[in-house]
Amino acid sequence: MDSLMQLFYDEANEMVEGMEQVLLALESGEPDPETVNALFRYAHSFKGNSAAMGFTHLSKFTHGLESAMEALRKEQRTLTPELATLLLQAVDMIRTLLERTRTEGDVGDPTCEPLLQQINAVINGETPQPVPAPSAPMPSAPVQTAPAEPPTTQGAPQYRITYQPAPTLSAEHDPLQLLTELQEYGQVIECRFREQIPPLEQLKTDACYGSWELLYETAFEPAIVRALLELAAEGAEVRIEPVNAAPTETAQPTAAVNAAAASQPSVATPPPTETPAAAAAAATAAVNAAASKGEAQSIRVSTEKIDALMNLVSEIVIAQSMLSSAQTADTDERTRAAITQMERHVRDLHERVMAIRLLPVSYLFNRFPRMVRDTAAKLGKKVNFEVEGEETELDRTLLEALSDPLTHLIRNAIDHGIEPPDERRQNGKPETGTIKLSAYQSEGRIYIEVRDDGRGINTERVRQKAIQLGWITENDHPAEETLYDFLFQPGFSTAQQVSDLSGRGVGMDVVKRNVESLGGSISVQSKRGEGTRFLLRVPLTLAIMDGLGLTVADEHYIVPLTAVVEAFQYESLQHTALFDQYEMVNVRGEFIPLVRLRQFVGLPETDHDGLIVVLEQEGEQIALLIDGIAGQQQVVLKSLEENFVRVHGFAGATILGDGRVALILDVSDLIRRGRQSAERYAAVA
Amino acid sequence: MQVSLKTSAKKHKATLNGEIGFAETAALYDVAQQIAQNPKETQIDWSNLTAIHYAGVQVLFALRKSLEEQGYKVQFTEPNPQLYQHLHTFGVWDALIQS
Repeated sequence: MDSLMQLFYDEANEMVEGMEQVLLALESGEPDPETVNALFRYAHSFKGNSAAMGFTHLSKFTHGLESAMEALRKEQRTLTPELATLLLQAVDMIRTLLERTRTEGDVGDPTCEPLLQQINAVINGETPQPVPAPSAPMPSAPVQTAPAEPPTTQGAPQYRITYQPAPTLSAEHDPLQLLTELQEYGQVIECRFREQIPPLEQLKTDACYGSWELLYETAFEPAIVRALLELAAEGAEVRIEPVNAAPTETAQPTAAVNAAAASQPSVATPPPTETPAAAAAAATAAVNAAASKGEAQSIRVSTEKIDALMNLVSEIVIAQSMLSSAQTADTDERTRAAITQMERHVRDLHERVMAIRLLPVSYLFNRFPRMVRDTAAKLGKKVNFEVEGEETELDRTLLEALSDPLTHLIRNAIDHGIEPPDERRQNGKPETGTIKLSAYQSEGRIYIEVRDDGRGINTERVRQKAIQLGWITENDHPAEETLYDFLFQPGFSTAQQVSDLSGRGVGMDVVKRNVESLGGSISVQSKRGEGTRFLLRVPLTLAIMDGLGLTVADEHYIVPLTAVVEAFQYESLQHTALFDQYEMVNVRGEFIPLVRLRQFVGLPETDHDGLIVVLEQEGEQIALLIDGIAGQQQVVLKSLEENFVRVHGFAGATILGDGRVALILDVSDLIRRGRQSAERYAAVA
Repeated sequence: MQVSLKTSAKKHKATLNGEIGFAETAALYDVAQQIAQNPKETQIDWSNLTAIHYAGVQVLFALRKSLEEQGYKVQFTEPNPQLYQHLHTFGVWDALIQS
């Protein structure tokens, strides 16, 4: 696919997403004019881009939809739930047609027209006929190049257009045809043809001898009109001047249109009053003005290029680490200073490249409002969906990988968490349940929470199920956290049939596995009758982190620096062991579970006292007994699962400066072991 | 054949059928040249012409000018309504038929 087409698809997908988000926002709140304008602009730009790329069916359908949005914009109709549903179906249809253009080209769907008719019927206050679902793809009749009726443009801005076609005619370049296509997007009020055609003996049949002046009424952006007229061939000159333009919409022509027009000598995106000769200066001024207003300027870069850059940076970090390690007491000052400076620059480079990979979680969260709306409607439930922390940034790869787990958790919350309205009323709750999706950053990790105010988890039923499966006995009464862990076990989820949990366990093992494969973890808290909270923790990035080196014997391990609280010399007086099994350490009066790293990694114990490193995550601490500390270093994370197998207790591996491999400890796993130790201690204390 | 020519003692009649795209313009130009080289009153019958590329329109303009320079007129018959609308909207019809 050529770059222009890819650009079109990238922008088209963004616009379709934008339309959907705006429709959902309009449905849930008061329709303010700016939001409605935003909806109209999306449809408008999408229509123009589709037309410019030759996708006439797509453009025509969007044009029909745009008329409905025009009615909304002029406040002729409020966005009723019925109309919202139909408009969302229309957005789905646009998606369908857009996808078909990739494989089948410019094809339509027989349900397009009925859907538009139904939308118009609702707008006009008539009883709409039900619309069948979109059909399987089928070839369509050739598209008429001239519509039966010109689009309604009453009140739209008028422009005086001077059109000097490109000097060379061809099968693809027919000025009359281009002018005819203008009629699909506006109305020609007046037209004057200036012919400069020589007598026959002087005529060249492929030369163009004519120009036009039009008075044209359209709601289109002038740049779209320009693109339509300039696309066919190089050398066209188009001047567009507003006559009695309404306050213009501020949407700039999209990059796809600009790119399409970039092959023309005339510069894309001049303001309407500019001649082509002044267009370049005006475009520059427009860009500067936009920048001074704080509007984001961006370019598109392929993910492959970014990934290649990240890999290169990670190798540079390793090489820099090797160079730092190679320093000896004999290294001269100048070399040391250069290495120190390089360390700073590499760290800066790492942070900036990491920032490129980071995307706000809104890219992911924006998918859910529509899903919540449709799922709740299907189940006859009322759900208010709230989102918080959308600006929190996360590595792009992680973002994509979290889509399935979060979708599952949210669906579960609607299906099995939120009660039907009647039940909620009986329980003294508002009819409309709430699901809240939030994200925040803390201690170098990203936390994503899915919280509902529904029924909550019936832990007694979970315990009974675990007994049934033989995992515990009737006399066992595990702590809540342990019972919740059962939910994530594969055997538990497939066997679960109890009504308040039916389906809630299904797929939870997959959710957990997916999150852990990212180096993350998932936990759940719940209160019967009040609701449930799932908390996902994932690393900020899978690429590079600051770590603390720990040693036991000759082995070198890494823990994230953000998890380290303190380190001190271990004294046996601090130690408490119950039944020689459950070890705790007294740290300033507080007893913290002890994990012996030698024991953890299968090395024999030593009689040396060693060091204690206190690690903390989400308010829970453990004391890790080690031989020594190797110092801080920036490490490049390599996945164990990708290169070997997933190993519990380890979040990954890295290559040290001396070329050795060091395993990165999974602090969550260590804390879980410590918690189990503390529970047993508390049970017998 | 989209373009055919019948010549009598006093006039030419060129009949244009179907669609004259850019590729057919060369054939139209050849017929126009035949007319211009043997100038007479000329009728262009395009009642069965549904579409014409602008290049073909230019040939008709040029033919009219050449014949008028030699004192002959070109008459255009009633065109297909769709074609008429197409040419009229963009000012081409009026410019073409003016003498």
